Formats: sequence, structure tokens, C-alpha cells
Amino acid sequence: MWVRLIALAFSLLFSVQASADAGERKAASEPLESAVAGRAASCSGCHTRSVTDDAFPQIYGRPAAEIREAMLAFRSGKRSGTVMNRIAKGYSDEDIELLAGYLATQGSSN
Amino acid sequence: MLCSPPSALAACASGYDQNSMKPTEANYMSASNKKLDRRRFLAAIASGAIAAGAPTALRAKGSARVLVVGGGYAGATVARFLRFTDPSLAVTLIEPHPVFYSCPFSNHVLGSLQPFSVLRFTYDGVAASGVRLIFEKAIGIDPVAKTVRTEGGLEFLYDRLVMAPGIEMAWNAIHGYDEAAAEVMPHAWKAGPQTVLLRKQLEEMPDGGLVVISAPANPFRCPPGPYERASLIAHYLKTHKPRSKILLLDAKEHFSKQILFQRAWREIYGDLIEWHGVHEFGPVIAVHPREKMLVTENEKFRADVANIIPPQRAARIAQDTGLTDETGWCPIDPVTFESRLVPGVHVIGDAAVAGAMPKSAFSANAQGKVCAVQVARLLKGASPIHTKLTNTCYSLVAPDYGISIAGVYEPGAQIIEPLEEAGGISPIHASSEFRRLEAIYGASWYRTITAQVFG
Repeated sequence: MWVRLIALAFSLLFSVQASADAGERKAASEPLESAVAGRAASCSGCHTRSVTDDAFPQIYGRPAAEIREAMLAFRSGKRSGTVMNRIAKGYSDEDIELLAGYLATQGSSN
Repeated sequence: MLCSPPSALAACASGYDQNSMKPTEANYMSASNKKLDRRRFLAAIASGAIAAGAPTALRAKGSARVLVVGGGYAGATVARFLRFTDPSLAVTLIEPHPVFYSCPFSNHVLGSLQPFSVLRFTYDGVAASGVRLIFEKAIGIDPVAKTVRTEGGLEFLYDRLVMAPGIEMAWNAIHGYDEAAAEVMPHAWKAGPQTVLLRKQLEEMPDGGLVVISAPANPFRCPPGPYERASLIAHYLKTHKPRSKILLLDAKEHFSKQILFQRAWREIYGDLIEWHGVHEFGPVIAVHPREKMLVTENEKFRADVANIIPPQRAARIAQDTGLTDETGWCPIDPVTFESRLVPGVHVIGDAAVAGAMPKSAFSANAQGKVCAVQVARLLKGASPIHTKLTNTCYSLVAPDYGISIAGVYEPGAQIIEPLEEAGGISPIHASSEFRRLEAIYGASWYRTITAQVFG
């Protein structure tokens, strides 16, 4: 009986952990925001999910490489903007990588 | 959810069915939900849906309650994003006014560039996202019982509370400037009837009249606001009443985007706008509403139209419930926005001490989203995220001339701190195309943010 109880405890622990991992992996396509998704909160102040004004380019569902290239270009000044240069300077390579990866998964078809 | 007194039961007993998106007439907590189903309980733990050990474990899966007080940019955003982040959350928003009038963009109305209707929003969109709306005034918090009380006698239980109550004017900080005085010398620093009143006064002012604006010391809601207001009133006057003048009496020496505003004023409006810093005449210390007179330490000014933007502090409910410190604003944890003074209660938007973040609608919206993520995670027993936040404030100086200030921020040990290498104002020397683009982006921002929050 003790062996069965220990086995049960282990399987419960494992299933909780596995669920947590699965939760994190699925987070990008699930409404519950992962740690990464929360970073895009400020972006959607102007770049909202549903484009109501084409002054601000759509970033949700954009390929990660495009987001990465744009943010790096704004940050270095290679690409000129009005406000994005000033904003991009606040984002590290790691920030940009995480953002680009997350935004790519957020297209309307996802 | 408890309702008291019993006479109010009809109003707040209309329950909340989180499986559909709309509030229903069913009771929120049916008797069967309270029974502990052991098999479902264990399954729920295994799926990670219930934070083990928390009181919510005894309730039906995923029925944590979040209460939001205040339906402005911060409150409406956090309420909506809580639902978006975790649709199992039961979110209730308590707001006294069933119609919202935006203070951002209201200067465009004062400058005759936009109709008043452009500022008006209902809460239909917020309701459609599954937020239950209670149009009442919240007046008290019991952080031990975890309830909020309204003026009408309703009582609401919460698992987490987010306060976004905004500001109140510090009446009589300027001697004689009380609520009655604001009907003669409007602040129009909360949009709605005050905006209409100030607009009407400007329309009725004869050509050659004097508009006096009094701007407060920091901190206050919308740092560039008084200067955008002076700009757009100047545009109206230059067009329709060119012999008129604007006097801007400031309680400080430095203001947001100062060099950009002052260069643009000289270029576009000549000497129509006259700004005086505090060292010149001293701050406005008193007003005489009947004569529309403003009094500083050294001078008296008699206005045809007087716009007093008084000192401010966090809204009354924050003052009354122990959320504010000696500054009159609410100190918070810079990561989770949880109050440093009252546990289980978060404060966002203008009422909060958000460190380097300005009291702007953009900040309120960004904080609302991050706070939603943090609260949703805390309710599930997950740790909060560490994230940067951004603010961008657009100001319109003239129809084709826009300027901006941006900032990127990060939680520090005590408060939210700026990233010094990022942010800043628009370039001092820029093409007219650049200024025109920023004017367009400012208007686009207003359309997109209000569609996101209220649409």
C-alpha cells in the first residue's frame, strides 16, 4: 500500500508539473498570458490587435524575423521613425527576441 | 458575492455566468457548486487549475472574483484584460457614471477642432467582454472581509481588488477655488460638463479677450495637458478672435516638452500665448470667482475666461481607505501594483505612485494590462512577471504640428524607474513632414486606444 501511495504522490506531482509545462508551452495560443506575453502589453497601446487605424502597422501575427529586424533597425537608427527609435532603445536583444517570438504566434488565425 | 442590505438583493443578485459572456439572472453561487466533489477536486489540482491550499480550492473551478473600482482608462483596461487573460475570472467593474467622457483629446474640442461627441463612450464594449458593470459609487473597502461598499448600500466580495479611482481636485488649495468656483472658472480636468462649460465660455468671449490658464506644480494628471490646451485654444483664437491673448501662469519653472512647445508657440502663434514661470509672479494662491480674478504673490490678473487647473491628489475613496501616503497618492509595489499599505488591493492609473511613469492615459492603459496579467497569475498561484512598460504622450500644437514624449520603464527595488538610454521628446529640429506625421499619429493613437478600451 505504501508503494502505491508513494507512486500516486509521484504521479500527482509529475502530472502537476507536466500540466504546468504544457500550460507554458500552450500559453502563447491560450488566453492566459505567459511571462512573455505580458511584455507586449505596452506595444498594444498603439499597435492594437485589430487594426482600427492603418497609421500603426499590425504587429500581431507578424513573422518573428520581421519584428526582430524592425526593432533592431529602429534601435540602431538604421530605420528612421518618429517615436519608435526612442522606444526601441529601451529593449535589449533578449527583450526583442522574446517579443518577436510571442507576436509571431498571435495572428488572428491562431 | 454577498448583497446587503436585503433590499438591494435584486440589483446585485443578478449573477454572473462565466461560461457565457453576459451577466445572467442566475444566482452567482448555486448550492451545488458549494459541494466538494472529491474526484473533480483532485482532477482540478492535477490540471493545475486550482492553487492548492487557497480558499478558492473549495469553490467551483476557475471562479475567482476580481473587483475593479473606476471605469476610466486604467479601470476599463484592467477589467477587460483580466477577462482576456483568464476567461474563468468573474470580473466586476464599479463606476458611478454610465457614460465616459475622455479627457485625452478634449483639448481638441476646446480648440474647436473636434465635436464634443468624439469624447463620449459607453461601456457596452466592456460589458460584451464579460465584465459585469455596476453603475454605483464605491465608498469603502474592508480589506479583512475583502468587501467593497457602495453609496447605494451594495456590498461586493472580492478575491483581488484593483483600484483605479483617478484623481480629485485639492479644493481650496488655491484659496477660494472650490466646487462652486469651478462652475465659473472651470478646470475641465475631468471631461464632460466641465469641457462643455469651458468651450461655451471661449465661444462667448469677445475678440480681444483675455484667457488665463493656471497650471499646477508636479505631480498632476497629464503633464503636457495644460500646454496642449493653451496651444489649441490659441489656434481657435488666432482663427476667430485674433486680438485675444492667453496668459499661462505656472506654479513651476519647467514643464513637459517645454522647449518644443515654446519654439512652436513663437513660430505659429507669435505672442498670442504668454507663459510665466513661478519665479516671475509666484504661484496662483487665490481666486475671486465673481470677478474672474487670479491672485499671485505679486500680481492680480482679471480674466475673461479663467481655466484653473488646480493641485490634485488621488480620489476620495483612496484617501478614505488608507491607500494614500502623505503625498496624497497611492504607493504601490512596482512589479504587481499591489498597494504597499493595504494587502490584496492593487492601484493603477493616475491615483498610483508609478515612479517615473507620468499620469497619462497611455500609462494607465499599459499598467492596466500588466496588472491584469499579474492579478491573473497571483490568483492561480503563479509568480508575477517582470516586464518593461512604455509611455508615449502625443500633444497637438496646431492642426498639422504634433509633438511627442516617450519613455520606457522598469520596476526598480522601490518604484518604477526610467531607462535613461531610451525615451525622450521629439527632435527640436524636425521637418514639417515629421510634425505632420506626429499630428496624425496622435489622432490615430486616440482612435485606436479608445476602440481597444471601449469598443
